[in-house]
Amino acid sequence: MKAESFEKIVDHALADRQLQVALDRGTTRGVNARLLAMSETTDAQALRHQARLARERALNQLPELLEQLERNIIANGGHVLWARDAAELNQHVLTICRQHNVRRVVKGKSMVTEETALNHALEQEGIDVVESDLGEYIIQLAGETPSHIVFPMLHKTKEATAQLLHDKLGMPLTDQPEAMTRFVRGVMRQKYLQADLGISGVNFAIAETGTIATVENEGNNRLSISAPPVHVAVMGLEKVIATWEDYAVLVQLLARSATGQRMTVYNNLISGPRRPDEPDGPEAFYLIILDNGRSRILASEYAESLACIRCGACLNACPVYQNIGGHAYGWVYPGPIGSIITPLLRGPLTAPKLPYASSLCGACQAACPVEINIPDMLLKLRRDLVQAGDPSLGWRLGMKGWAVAFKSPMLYRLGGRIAGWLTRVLARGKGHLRWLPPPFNGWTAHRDFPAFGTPSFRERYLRRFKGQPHDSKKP
Amino acid sequence: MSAREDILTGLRAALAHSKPFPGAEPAAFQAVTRIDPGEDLVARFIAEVQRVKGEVHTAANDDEALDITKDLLTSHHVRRVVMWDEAHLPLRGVWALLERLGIERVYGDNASVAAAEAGITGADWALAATGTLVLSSGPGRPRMASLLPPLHIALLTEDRIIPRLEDYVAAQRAARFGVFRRSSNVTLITGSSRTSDIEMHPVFGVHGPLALHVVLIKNLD
Amino acid sequence: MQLAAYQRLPPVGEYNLYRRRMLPLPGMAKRVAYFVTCIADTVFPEIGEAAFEVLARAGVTPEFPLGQTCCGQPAFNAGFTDEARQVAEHFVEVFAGYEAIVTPSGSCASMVKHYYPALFRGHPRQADALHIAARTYELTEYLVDVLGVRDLGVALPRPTRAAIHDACHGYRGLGIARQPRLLLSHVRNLTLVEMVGHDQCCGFGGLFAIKMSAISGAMLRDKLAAIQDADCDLVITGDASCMMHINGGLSRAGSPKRVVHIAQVLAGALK
Ligand code: SF4
Repeated sequence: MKAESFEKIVDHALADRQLQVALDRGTTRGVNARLLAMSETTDAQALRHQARLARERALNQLPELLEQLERNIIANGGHVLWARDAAELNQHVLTICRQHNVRRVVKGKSMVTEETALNHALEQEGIDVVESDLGEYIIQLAGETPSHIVFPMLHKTKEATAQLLHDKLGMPLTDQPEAMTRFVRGVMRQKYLQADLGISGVNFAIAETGTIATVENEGNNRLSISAPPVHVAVMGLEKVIATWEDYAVLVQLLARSATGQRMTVYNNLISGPRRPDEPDGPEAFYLIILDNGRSRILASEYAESLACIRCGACLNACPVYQNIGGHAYGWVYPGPIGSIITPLLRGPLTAPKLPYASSLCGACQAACPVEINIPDMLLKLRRDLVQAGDPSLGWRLGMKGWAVAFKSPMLYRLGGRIAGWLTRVLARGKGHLRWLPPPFNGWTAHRDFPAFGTPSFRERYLRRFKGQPHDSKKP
Repeated sequence: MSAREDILTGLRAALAHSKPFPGAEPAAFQAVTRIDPGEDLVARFIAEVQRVKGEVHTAANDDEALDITKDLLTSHHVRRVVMWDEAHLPLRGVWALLERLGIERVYGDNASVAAAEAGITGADWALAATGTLVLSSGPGRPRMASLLPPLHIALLTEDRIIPRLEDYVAAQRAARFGVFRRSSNVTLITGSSRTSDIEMHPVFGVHGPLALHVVLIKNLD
Repeated sequence: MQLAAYQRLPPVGEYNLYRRRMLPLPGMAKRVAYFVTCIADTVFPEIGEAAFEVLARAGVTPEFPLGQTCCGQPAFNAGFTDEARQVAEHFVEVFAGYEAIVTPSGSCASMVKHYYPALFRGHPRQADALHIAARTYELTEYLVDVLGVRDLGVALPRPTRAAIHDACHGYRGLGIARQPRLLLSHVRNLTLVEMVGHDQCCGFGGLFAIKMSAISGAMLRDKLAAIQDADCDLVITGDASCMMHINGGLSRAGSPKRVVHIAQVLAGALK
């Protein structure tokens, strides 16, 4: 995580009017689009389960499927490279660039390359990299990082976007997204045609034919992987799936969950480089398969997180994300799923706040097209943090004390009485308190706290059934 | 050990004792998109293409289709076209039409293709439920024709319309997926290029074609 | 604000992984225990009383095991699994052997149902814990699905428009949405209106409200705004903790609107 504390970053985000407007507009549209699109399927619940099973089957046989994928890609004339970690992936790309005398690279959207900071590695070698996705391009111009898996510039209003394009590229100011888009189209055209190499991510890799599938709307991905003479695709090793039937359900749920579309505009299915008899397309095709901690996750009780298809639905649905945006999560993957995979990929103590940045409301799980039980994993990560000794001594003692009190009916009653009396005194007859001492001042920072009612239910019950308690078990 | 061996060994070790998801058996497959029983697939296809801001022009016969194509080209002031070979189009006479109109047919590298104002292609299949065109690359079928020019004209006969993506997959399985060995690129196109990157507000016409026109030709009975 | 049709209907079950068919178990009516929850015992005893009253109205006078304290959720949600288990062990001790355990909280019910099985895996009392997990019911779920109650014959003192806040753990955890609406639809003088974001978290989340106070406060503000915009005099919810949280915000904001627990409405306890 960055040096600035999570709480500070959150405070900035909450106070950022521009960000709040952008988040509100963006996530509301995203949630509504998904709900509508999922409600128009044959059976949303059954399909989510079907999609989930497709992912589970793939994860159960990962090594076999990866080998099958590799065999088929090689048979189609492509190359397959393996990378244990981020550095190794970047090194592979640099080596390919050297082999093909590459100076200019154009990139389609890829979260994995964000994970490995590939752009930085390329730029250090003097290679020019341009993001071709509209959002990613604007983010790159601004020198920022994506704040959403699917909508990288969700944190920006259209007004801020126009200003940026005006300042950096001299676009005439406008508040029309249409005009801004047309402007960027013009700028990007030449870049595609001049690029020596195109890089793309992978949404699904279909093992049985050695095909990689990307989904997109803009055409930038298709251009990036079709126009330059070399295409490099990078994928996390969990992206492989077994069959085309699995692809059919997953790709459609991905579109409906991510953007509310029935199909994204372009689904590109790439099976190796241009065939000798084909008029266009890249002459060389490389697939790089990245581990970077994923095989470790597969062995853990968090294997489920590898089922994620990066649709971003859980981000839009999350009331925490809706309020703090993606940058507060501190790394490449924001939102509920980010709170899980960031600590898993980078180590639990690198992001100790993230598992706690959730009210466990379950909106993420309900939105997830592959039924990932995010709240459950957040709870397990919290448990891991406790076992690693992360919470402060104060919290640890507090919890110990709480357990001692709450497993003893007598102490529980006594504590309840004291707390009740205290709250009533402090409330001074007003029924509620406006201030509580630390650590409970977090509560009263934003809401009043009630004075406890009296007498307790238990006393009322005993009064009512005096002499004939229904209870068969005396305390 | 190579990265490959390392990774595969790690994965095998992770799965050695138990599969993470026991009981993930192949499920009965259910298609995603609703189609009502007895629904007219042609009408559905047209409606779906329109939904995603494409246009469909229906032609009763080849002559009508050529007229429509001519109107599209002239109304868009097209001077240069990149197109599939006529053998791969469901319509004869397109080349002759271009000659008559004085439109140049461009080939070759990306730079020359990029000058074209229109691309003319056929399609392997069309998916009714989602308004999707399936195009495969191959000899005489450049990828760029459906990608670089601002106007994409797809010529299609009604008999190419099948219900859904799931049906396409089933047909390819029956054909042992030969298309993915022959074609380096199969593209499913649903509408004209768009983005929702700015505040999730949909804008049509980004890096791909700004407009998609499907000329849908009736089959001779 | 008009809601589109797909927003208006709570997608119960459709989106609920946890959903389980709940059938009345043989001999169910024999011994029913009432778990009042720590918050409805000490902070809001009137809710504890109201829920007890509702069960009595429905023809069930449950037993109230006097040794009960808490389900262990506060520690469990904070990651303190051992501490949570200690309290849960006590819960199992107290509630073992009942045919049904009914509680006026979707959150506590879902804690017991969903997390006890894992918490007690390999534990000497595993069998009891599983038994309890399978027989714990949220109040409205028990009334509607087990007892078949529809109309409790209650009325509000004056015509009232009320919106429902679907508390997260009951709604998404247990799939509870139909049951409270059904019961409330039979309450005289009550008109139900749907609220934008009726299923959106209020930001409570237990210790989350304290540890992540700023985020929780922002979520609460969203909820208060939705309540403000809703065409209602009253908000009804099924969890006392959410009620406490939202009311704390309404009172801080000086709003005249209030949230009440559904048991208070169904017991005819509102003045
Ligand atoms: S966890 Fe689920 S909802 Fe979130 S991005 Fe992944 S697939 Fe989508």
